[in-house]
Amino acid sequence: MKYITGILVFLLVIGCLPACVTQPKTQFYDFPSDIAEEAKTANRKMLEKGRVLYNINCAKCHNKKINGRIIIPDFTQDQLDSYIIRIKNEVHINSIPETRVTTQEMEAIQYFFTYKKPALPVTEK
Amino acid sequence: MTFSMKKNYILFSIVFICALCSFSFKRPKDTGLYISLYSQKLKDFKKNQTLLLDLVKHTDLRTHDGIKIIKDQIAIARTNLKGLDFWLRYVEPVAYKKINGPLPVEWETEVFEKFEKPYKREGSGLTLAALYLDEKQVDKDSLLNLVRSSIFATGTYMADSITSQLQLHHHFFLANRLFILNLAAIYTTGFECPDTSRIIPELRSMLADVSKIYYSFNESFAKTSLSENYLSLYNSALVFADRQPGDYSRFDHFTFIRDYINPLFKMNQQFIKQYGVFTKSYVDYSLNNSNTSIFSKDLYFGQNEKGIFLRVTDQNALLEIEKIGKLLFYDPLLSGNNQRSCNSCHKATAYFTDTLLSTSFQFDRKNPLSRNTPSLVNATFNHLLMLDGKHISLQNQGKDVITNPLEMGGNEKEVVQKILNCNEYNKAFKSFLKYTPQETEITIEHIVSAISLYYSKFNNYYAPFDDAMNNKKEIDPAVKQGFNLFMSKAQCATCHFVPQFNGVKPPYIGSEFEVLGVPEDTGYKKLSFDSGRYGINPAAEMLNAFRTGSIRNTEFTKPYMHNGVFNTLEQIVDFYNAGGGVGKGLTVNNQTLSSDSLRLTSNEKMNLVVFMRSLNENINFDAAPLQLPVSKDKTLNSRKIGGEY
Repeated sequence: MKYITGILVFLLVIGCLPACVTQPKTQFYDFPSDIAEEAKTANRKMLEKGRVLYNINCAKCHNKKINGRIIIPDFTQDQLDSYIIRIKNEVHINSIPETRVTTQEMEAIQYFFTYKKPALPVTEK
Repeated sequence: MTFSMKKNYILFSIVFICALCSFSFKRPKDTGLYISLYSQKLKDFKKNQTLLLDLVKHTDLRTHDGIKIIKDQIAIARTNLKGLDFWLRYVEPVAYKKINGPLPVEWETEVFEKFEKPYKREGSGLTLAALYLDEKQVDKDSLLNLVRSSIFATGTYMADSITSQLQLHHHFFLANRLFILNLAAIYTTGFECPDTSRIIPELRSMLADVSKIYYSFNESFAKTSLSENYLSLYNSALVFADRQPGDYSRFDHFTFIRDYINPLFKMNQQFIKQYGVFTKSYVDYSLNNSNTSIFSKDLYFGQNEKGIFLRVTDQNALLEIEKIGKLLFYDPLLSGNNQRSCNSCHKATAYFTDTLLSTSFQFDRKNPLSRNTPSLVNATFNHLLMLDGKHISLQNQGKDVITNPLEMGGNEKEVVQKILNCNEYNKAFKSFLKYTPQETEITIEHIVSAISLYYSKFNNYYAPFDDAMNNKKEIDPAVKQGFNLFMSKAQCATCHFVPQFNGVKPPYIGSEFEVLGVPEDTGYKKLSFDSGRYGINPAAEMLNAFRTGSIRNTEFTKPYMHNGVFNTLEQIVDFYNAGGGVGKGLTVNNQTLSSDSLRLTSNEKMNLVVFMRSLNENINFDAAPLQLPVSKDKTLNSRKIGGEY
């Protein structure tokens, strides 16, 4: 009987493992339901790029810690307008000039925020 | 309580409340003198423009006298405008085009707009009105519209959003920087002053007006004032301009810039640092606050030479990437047939261009390409690349050439595969991946970024002309004379702007395109068939327009023009002296170059060429690599270093 319980627990753990490993990333984004699956895969690549670029260039100042969890805040579309981001903010003029983040990269970050699920916890550095 | 007592009580309360209010509201900083000078000048300008409008309405424009009355009033209003130019150009550049747009139609291709489609802006105002009066038939309504729309635009400068900027010191030093850069690049050249006899008189009145602006600023902003040294040097500049001849062709532009304008620029840059000035305007987008000379290569930022590696600052890492970039530059693996490399057309030991052919051969090695190979040296000082402004980044340009079936005929995936098949490249790029965490694998972006990093290091060299400007190094007097002509009578500087002498003018955020009427051959039988910028932006004004190139290193980058039709600098000078294509008898409906002859003497032509030679940069080119990385595919290991044609 002990053996059977042991095997059952073991199987349960094994069964759950892939779910734990593969679960993140794909769940980060809110896609409209009518987008084709292949388009989602292609978009995800771009979104991941945006997410990493956010982590490199923006997270240090913008991430928030709430109840021990690190949260990527949400921005409105207006706040994400790339020209405005760079010029209208005194800090940004020095922290993210064209020589540090290109406009194309800025677009990838904007894209990430467009499809990111609201207030996403950070799971990796 | 009687009625009168009650009245007194109410009155007293009101007075008390008023007094309280005036104390409790924080008084705005006393910027009175400075702001009132601005408002007064703006009012005067508006008044004189309204007067001009009335004169146009009531004057007979068919008579010589009538035209003269209008011209005189335009001159008066222009003097007002010049006194305000310091502010207007900086605080609201879009409205400014309505007041002083030098072209009837302009297609914007500025740094922000390069990511969008170019859009059309119609100019109006005094410069166009003055030009319009010289036409054979003057239509009153069109003239009235030019003035009306200028008056309307002047009104926008009274808006709160603009006057509120003037309450702080920040705008002042940035506006002053633009003013100084324009003193070096356009105010003395007639860029927006069609009547050449007025250029120096307008300059003088402008310098005097700005002097008053300076004093009112120092009065109102004592904590962030201009230093005594600055004001005294500025005063000397004023005296210098007054003592110089009033004819812009005899004015000593060289000394004016070297001894006054550039040192003033340096001091203003120091104020920007010292007073913690920050910008909220796109006008300052590409200017570098740390730069200390107009003739230093770090004045403005045009292109990202590091591409995908832009955040790498470690010098050793950059050297490693650059080393791989050099190998790639010489490696024919980047082409479809493994025979052609970047170096095939952009000869790395000869200013990165091809001086032998007007236009290089296509991939088939039989037919010629339609355009001349441009030098890659100083390419970073452009916001738009290629002669038609097709590309916005060096890396996009690189990818385009590699995959263009007429040029290198490569395929993106295959090229990456061939490169990674070489152990040396493979190892290097794998180690570079740590610099680009946003990329999960090695892509063509890594390859073209290494290449642009390599050739861009040749941008950091200076010419004897720069040394003369920066360090007062001795220079042939003929160079000075040539430069002074370049800035005046020869009308070169109205398109080739100081300091890069390309089509990027202060505040260095856009690239200009011009229609010159370049012929198909030196016999001037017909206009070159190439539609130029029109292919990218199909607007009538853009037909046969090309991006203005730099004249740095021009002696070594022949042949000239988009189709390489000219072989010598003398031919070029002759072409411009005649008035471009139209002057040479071709029909060009939209030529932007004046078709009148410049009437240059042979001595003047010679001096111009001497000046152009003084812009040859002392570049240390390095030798080709001795070998290329070994590929796993043995058939590729006999490929030629630098490829063949």
